[in-house]
Amino acid sequence: MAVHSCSLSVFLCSGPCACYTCDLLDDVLRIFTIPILQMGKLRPGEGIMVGGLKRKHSDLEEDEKWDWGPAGLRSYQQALLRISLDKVQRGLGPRAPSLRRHVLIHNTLQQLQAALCLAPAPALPPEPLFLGEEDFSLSATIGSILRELETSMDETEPPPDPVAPVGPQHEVLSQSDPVFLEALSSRYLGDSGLDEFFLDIDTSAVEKEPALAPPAPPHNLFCAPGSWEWNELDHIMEIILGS
Amino acid sequence: MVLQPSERHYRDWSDRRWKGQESRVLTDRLQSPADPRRSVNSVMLADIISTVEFNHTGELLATGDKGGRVVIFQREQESKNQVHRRGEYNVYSTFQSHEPEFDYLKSLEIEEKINKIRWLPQQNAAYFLLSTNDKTVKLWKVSERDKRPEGYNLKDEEGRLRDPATITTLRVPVLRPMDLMVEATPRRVFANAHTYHINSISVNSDYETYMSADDLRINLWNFEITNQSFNIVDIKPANMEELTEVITAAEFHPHHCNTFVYSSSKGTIRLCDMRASALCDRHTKFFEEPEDPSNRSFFSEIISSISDVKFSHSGRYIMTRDYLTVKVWDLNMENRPIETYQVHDYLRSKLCSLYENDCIFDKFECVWNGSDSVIMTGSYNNFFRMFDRNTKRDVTLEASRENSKPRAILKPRKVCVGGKRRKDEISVDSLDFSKKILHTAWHPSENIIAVAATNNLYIFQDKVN
Repeated sequence: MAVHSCSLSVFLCSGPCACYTCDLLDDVLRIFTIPILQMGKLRPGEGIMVGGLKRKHSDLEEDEKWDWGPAGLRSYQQALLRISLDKVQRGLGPRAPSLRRHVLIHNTLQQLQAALCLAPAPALPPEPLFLGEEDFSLSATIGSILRELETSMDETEPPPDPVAPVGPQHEVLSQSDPVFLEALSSRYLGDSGLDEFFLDIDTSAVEKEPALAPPAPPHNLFCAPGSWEWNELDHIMEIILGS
Repeated sequence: MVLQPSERHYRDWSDRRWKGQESRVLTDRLQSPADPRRSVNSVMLADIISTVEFNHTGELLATGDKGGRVVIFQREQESKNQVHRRGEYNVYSTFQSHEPEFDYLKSLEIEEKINKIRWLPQQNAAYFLLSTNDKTVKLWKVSERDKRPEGYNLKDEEGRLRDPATITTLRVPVLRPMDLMVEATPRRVFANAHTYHINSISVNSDYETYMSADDLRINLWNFEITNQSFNIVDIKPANMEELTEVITAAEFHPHHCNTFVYSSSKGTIRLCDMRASALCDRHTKFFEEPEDPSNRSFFSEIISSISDVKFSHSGRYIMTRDYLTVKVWDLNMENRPIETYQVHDYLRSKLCSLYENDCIFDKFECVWNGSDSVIMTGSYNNFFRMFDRNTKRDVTLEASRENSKPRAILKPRKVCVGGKRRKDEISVDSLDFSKKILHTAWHPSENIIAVAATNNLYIFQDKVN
């Protein structure tokens, strides 16, 4: 796919990417770029450092400082998500990446995505940047999950089970709403083919921009373009797709 | 769960009193001031030991490192004068097995790091071993030369050709003794068969074939044929987006040449019979333990990923190592292991940090002793653990210079989880996660173990009273 070739040229060679035909990196990138590409076109010029909002691990595990309430739990999950995305970003280099490591991180990302959706997803307002709900296939996209998280934060009721200070990750999956997960899976895990979807993607719209300073935390609840989630994901897109 | 090595006088181990004997030779072996890769007072990345393996008699011990070198140690013959002095291991041969490569077509570096070494059983005076990096397996012949022919007619003693016109007499060359020379020659190179990284090699009990396993495929080779291999397992999905599981280790059964096992990143083991079909995509047996719902977390899958699988010498059991435990499985029971040993359960609450610093992806190996009664595996802070399957006792030991003075006795260590730390205990937060023991080996018949701690090799022997 043309997208893969462009992305690889950023990391591996300064010349044209026609030289690059690797099975392995193609395969690895395919695993990670597909969910992001499904989001549709992103506006250029919006990018932030993915790692800019990374929490230190000491913050994540010192019980007395961390708030293990519902908001704290969500922050924990988001922090894990950011760490995972950071790993994806850093995993590519001059050496062929470890497939085992990538698969494990990817599976963890999928679990995080599933867990972050704790409430039924509201109907999405028509988004010019999206190609339509019915075009989503395979796993849920990172951006849409984050967006729904923001929209659902107002509507989400506190989870019935108290979140224990120790081992909050144990509570997460048991609290996932089974109804929502079913809705999610039926919506996102369709069998629609990918090929016709990718034909729509115009990678020329994505231009490489210098990284901007980390923004302030979001104020609005909707994950609109220009919000930090979009910026974050846009940055990932820039890195993966290159110029 | 708080990890508690036995505090009582661990009769079996303490009575035998492990003697610490650091192999100083290994740290000295790379003395080459002219080598630009060397630097003073720092651990050279190329020196990091990446595999350790005894041969079938235990006479030889091979190590591979990140720089693509193989160093073979040989045990001293026990002299008649000093019956009580156990043979020490000294350097026998050193050679460069693999070189770094660059795949120009794919624009990828191929690391020269030796992932695995496996010995072939000795069939003549020479020794044979397989060594592999990510892409290429090589068969090396290690042989001794202690005689050399002298008295050639057509060349002189320096090897220069003589002018035939000057030869007036004929003589028969004779073999004369010389200083022992050990030479290693590559006899076979098995290349271009793996798209993904080779993680395991295993010699079959028929001694004619062996297998090499990468993340998604396992290939069967004949030692004599390098331009062909048979693919016997292929788990690559048609659509790579559906990839959720990779092969992490594979091994042949020690006695049945048709049987092998391979483990996965999802904590499962599959046993396959090559008689069933040419492509063993359908397993004969499937070993998986049901997940404990109370321990479920985002990291459950990562810590269940099996990093090593080893058949017992008897062939009846398999042992698997995942991030926190070692499990012993009976081949006749697939639904759960028969024994589970906690290696460092105190890390369970630290998984997020270990995920962030990538330690959670460390691949620890595990080994059986000769009689399959004790199993051993490594941990962090240069600790390694032994579990006695019969008495259910376990011990934590440390491989460090301070503890390894000659004739020193290894003292059990203990990790303190919370509360008051006793003297000689170490708290979980003080553990050094950069000091990890991933590779260990156990002599096939005696209580001699080799422990690789970053760039140092420690050999510990049983003290003879």
